[in-house]
Amino acid sequence: VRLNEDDMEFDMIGIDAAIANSFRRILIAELPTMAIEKVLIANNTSIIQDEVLAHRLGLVPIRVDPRLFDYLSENDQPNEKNTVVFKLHVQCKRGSPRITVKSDALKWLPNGSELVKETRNATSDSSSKPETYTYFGCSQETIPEFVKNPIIPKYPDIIVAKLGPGQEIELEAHAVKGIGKTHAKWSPVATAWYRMLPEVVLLEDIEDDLAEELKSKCPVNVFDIEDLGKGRRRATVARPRACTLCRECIRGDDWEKRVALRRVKDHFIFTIESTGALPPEVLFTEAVKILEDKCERVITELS
Amino acid sequence: MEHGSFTDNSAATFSLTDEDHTIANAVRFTLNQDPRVTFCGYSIPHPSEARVNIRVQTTGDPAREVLKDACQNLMLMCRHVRCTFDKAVEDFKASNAVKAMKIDSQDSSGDDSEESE
Repeated sequence: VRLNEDDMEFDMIGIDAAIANSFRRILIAELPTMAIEKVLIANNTSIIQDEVLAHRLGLVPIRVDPRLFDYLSENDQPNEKNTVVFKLHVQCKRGSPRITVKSDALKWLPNGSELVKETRNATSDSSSKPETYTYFGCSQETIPEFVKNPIIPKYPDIIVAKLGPGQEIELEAHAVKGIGKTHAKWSPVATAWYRMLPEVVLLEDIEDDLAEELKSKCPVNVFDIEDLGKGRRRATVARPRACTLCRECIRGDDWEKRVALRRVKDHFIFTIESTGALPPEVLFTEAVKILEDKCERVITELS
Repeated sequence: MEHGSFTDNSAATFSLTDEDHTIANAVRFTLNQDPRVTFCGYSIPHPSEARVNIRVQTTGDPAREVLKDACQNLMLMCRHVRCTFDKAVEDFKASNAVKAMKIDSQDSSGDDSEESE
């Protein structure tokens, strides 16, 4: 029915509530995304506490396709296949007015971390490259998808922090792949919901004055008047989809006998609002694939 | 993991780890559609623990096979949904592209791309 870059609405007919709910649950909780997980703070003299700043950075949606990356587990080294590194360095000089740090200040570092790890090992070779917090084998810029689309936060105007004169923030943020179950920042949809198509049935023929009254009662204009000829008018249900089931039309005396409000049991109107990492139709396809994978896992466990 | 009586293959409880309502409800629904099944249900012993118990009782067929068939049916359903959805999205995009190419300023209302199973 409706498909934009960020959200979509479509109808599913013939499916059952259990499957529709499974799709909804998977869309919210089990589709992987990339989000900032580790924040290495070099300098933070602002009034925003470190942990609050890190929390806010984690919630910023990043415009990158999570299917190109692998998961990073506990014992893995962060390398170019599972981490995306951003840098944030903002300074407010003395004498200049307050600055607002927006999310477009996050710069992508395709070559990996720049912060140097402190090694206590005195015998370390001084001619080798200094050890940083990530071990990038090759620059992420060489991956073809990123040549034309650099990785940036999806919305450049998210306010991350505010700085007064003389304050500075310098940090490095590592984004990894995760699913919404562990933390909501990894949920790829702003939200996803479904509702069942309302069915408005006129049990009796409603004519003339009653028809006018019915039409004026409904706040979303579900009913229409059609002319039968001979000066009589009848009410018809024109837009059942718009009905919000507010039940205004059955308030008052006797209306319950004339209008029945029900839901069509297998017609679902899905709405998916994406945060931007992937377009919504891709999200739904991935969700279906994940349900298939889960089934397959059960089958292999059984046999 | 299956707990059942060793003599009677047709009734068993399957305990799946790392699962929740998402797959359990869907599998229970497909099991219900199977005519060989007399009773099926699922329960979650404790919400903090990601474990699901699925109980299947059949009219003689081994419960394991029936559960496997139900999962296969669910997978088929998913594939069908995916194909239909992809086609519907393509049709919708095509019809939108055609509309966008019309230069005169007609008011274009959204297209109804309904899919049916």
